Amino acid sequence: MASHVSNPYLALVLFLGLLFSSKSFASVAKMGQFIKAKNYNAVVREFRNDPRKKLLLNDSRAVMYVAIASENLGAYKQAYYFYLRLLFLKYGNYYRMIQKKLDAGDFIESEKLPNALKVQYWKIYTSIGKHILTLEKLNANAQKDVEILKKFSVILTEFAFREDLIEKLDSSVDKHITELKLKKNEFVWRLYADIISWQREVTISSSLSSAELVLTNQGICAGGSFSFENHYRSYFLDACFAYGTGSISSVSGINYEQGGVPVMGLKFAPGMSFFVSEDKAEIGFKVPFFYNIQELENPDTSVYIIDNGSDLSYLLSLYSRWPVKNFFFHTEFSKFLDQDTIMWSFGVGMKL
Amino acid sequence: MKKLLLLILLTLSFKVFSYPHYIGHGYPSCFNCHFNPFGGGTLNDYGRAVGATAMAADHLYPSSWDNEKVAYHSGFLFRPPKQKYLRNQINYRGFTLIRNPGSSETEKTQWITMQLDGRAVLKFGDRDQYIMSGSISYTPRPSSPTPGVKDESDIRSREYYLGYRPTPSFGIYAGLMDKVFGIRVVEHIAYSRMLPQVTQNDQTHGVAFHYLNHGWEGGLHLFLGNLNQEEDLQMKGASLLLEKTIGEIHRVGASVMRSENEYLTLTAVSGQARVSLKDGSSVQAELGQVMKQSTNGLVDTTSRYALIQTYLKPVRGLYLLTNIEYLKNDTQSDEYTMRWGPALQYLPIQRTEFRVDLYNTRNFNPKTSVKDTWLLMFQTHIWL
Repeated sequence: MASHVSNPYLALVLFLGLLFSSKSFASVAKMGQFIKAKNYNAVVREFRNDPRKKLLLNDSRAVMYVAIASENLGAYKQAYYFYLRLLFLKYGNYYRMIQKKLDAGDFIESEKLPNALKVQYWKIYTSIGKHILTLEKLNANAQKDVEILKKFSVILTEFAFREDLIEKLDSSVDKHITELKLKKNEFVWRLYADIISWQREVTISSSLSSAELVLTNQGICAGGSFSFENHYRSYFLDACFAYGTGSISSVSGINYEQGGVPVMGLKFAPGMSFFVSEDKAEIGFKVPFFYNIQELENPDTSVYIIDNGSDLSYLLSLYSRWPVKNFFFHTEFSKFLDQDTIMWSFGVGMKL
Repeated sequence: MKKLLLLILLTLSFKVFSYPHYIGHGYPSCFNCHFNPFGGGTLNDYGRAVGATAMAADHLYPSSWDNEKVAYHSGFLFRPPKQKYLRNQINYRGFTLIRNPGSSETEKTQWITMQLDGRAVLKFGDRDQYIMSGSISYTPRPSSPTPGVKDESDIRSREYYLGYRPTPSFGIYAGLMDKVFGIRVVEHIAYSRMLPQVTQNDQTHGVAFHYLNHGWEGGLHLFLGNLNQEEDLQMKGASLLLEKTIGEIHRVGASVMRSENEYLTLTAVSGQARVSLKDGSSVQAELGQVMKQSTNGLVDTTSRYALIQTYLKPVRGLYLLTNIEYLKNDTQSDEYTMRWGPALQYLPIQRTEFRVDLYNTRNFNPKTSVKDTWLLMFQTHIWL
């Protein structure tokens, strides 16, 4: 001892060591009291505010307290890191030995391992599992977490430790990951060609009388849609170009009849839909804007006026789609908002 | 008394329609749920249980009821059968029909009872290979009487037959039955049922052969016409239906039929497909052509029809469907008709069905245009 003290440098190191350790012990003791009082926020605060965090990270009690506090606060990823740190601190040799055996594919004699070690692995496994269950999005970090979980699940299964509970947590995580995958949004393009038909009420009038005409159009509407969708619902924009012919006749009064009148139009529709089956059969609504040009023959412009309303009309549609692999059949049944007339369409298409 | 009751039940019968769209629930064959392998008629025990546990909604049951308990109460009069020989059913179907709804000038509303009937099936053998099925119903006479039937009564039977299945895959049925042709959809006003004359009053006496294995299902029907009609009107002939199972859950098939009486020869062909989208959603389609030749040459026409029927099941017990129908009465003509019908079918609890159908009918003529016509139907269907 005398020789130690005689070395001034060593004496300084010993002094500083004693100083720091005594401070650390004070901090750790406080953490212990906070844990007993279930004041978990205070544990984490104490750890964060301690200027010698690096030293505390080598104190297994401090690490354990922060891990427990983090777990109870629901900060499972943080708890995972601290439990993992605790494993290295307390069971570093075991960890390396187990890792070697796993890498070599050797059998692990789990009955020879201390139960506390298995509990330590269990804590790590459940922390990362619980963390995954709190995730709301699936990203690259989440994928890494799932890999970590699987790794510890394998180790604990090798230990034959709490296998029923492992199966339960694994299954919950798998279910949650599947759910996140299903909720994942993607952009989807589709192309389609429809048979389309619509009817409009037209008025013909003269200075003496007026009469109602009915105009029935039919044709093809070819276009596409762009949607932002996940497994459950879709928001989309849809547009198609319509080309066809129509015939028009008077319902009563003035006798008027014309057939084969060409018509062109553009239908643009925002909408939303829900997927209702495993194969993504879909039902939803659209609010189409329909712009069409159709020149109706006026028998005598000096006497008659034909009023076929605005070229732009608005509709409300009930929409449904049945996919078979990348192809689909879809239908749309729409009511014009300015008249009691109907537009319908059905057709086939493909997902790009 | 029991014998009398049995006798009454044996003479009782009803006509219930089949739901071929249940292919979306994984049932490509009608034989899974019906005693009649071609669909319609009495449900078997399995069909009753499936109807209660998979088709109808479950939100009206006490929370303690699981599907097993629901199925337990799916038997006749809510009890499981105590013997294996007799199965009964009582059925009511009626609807409010509104023509041109919303039109102050032409709107017309009427209530129509389609059927109120009872039926019984007697079955014997270790595989129930021997069956006797019959139904009798109170059915108001149609507005246009059935041709050749004198003193048509409100009480009549649309189905009675004997059946024998020597093997599970092969059966013979003899009696009064629906003709074996096309997709037997519930909508009896469908062009696909009216044109080939296979709709609600077109049953015929005859013998039907049924074959079913994992890949194929088929039927051959040899018929003598409805023997209740005058002899010169009885349509005698034969029909053949073949369906192949694709990918275990879908069906494609074809039908052909030829029948004739002293005035008319009718030949019909059709192709059909039923696609399952799982979870109760499906699409079914039929495309057919009917040739009618009269002995006097006055009504010789070739007609064409198509049907696309789509089903979506947003939640258990609720189906949203669309009927898209095409009719060309004369293939030589430029005129044709399209009928578009969105509909909602709701089965709130087992044995109860409500349905709303809206039909928009549009005629296409290259030279003229007429206003669409509309039908709105509120249908109630209850069975015990």
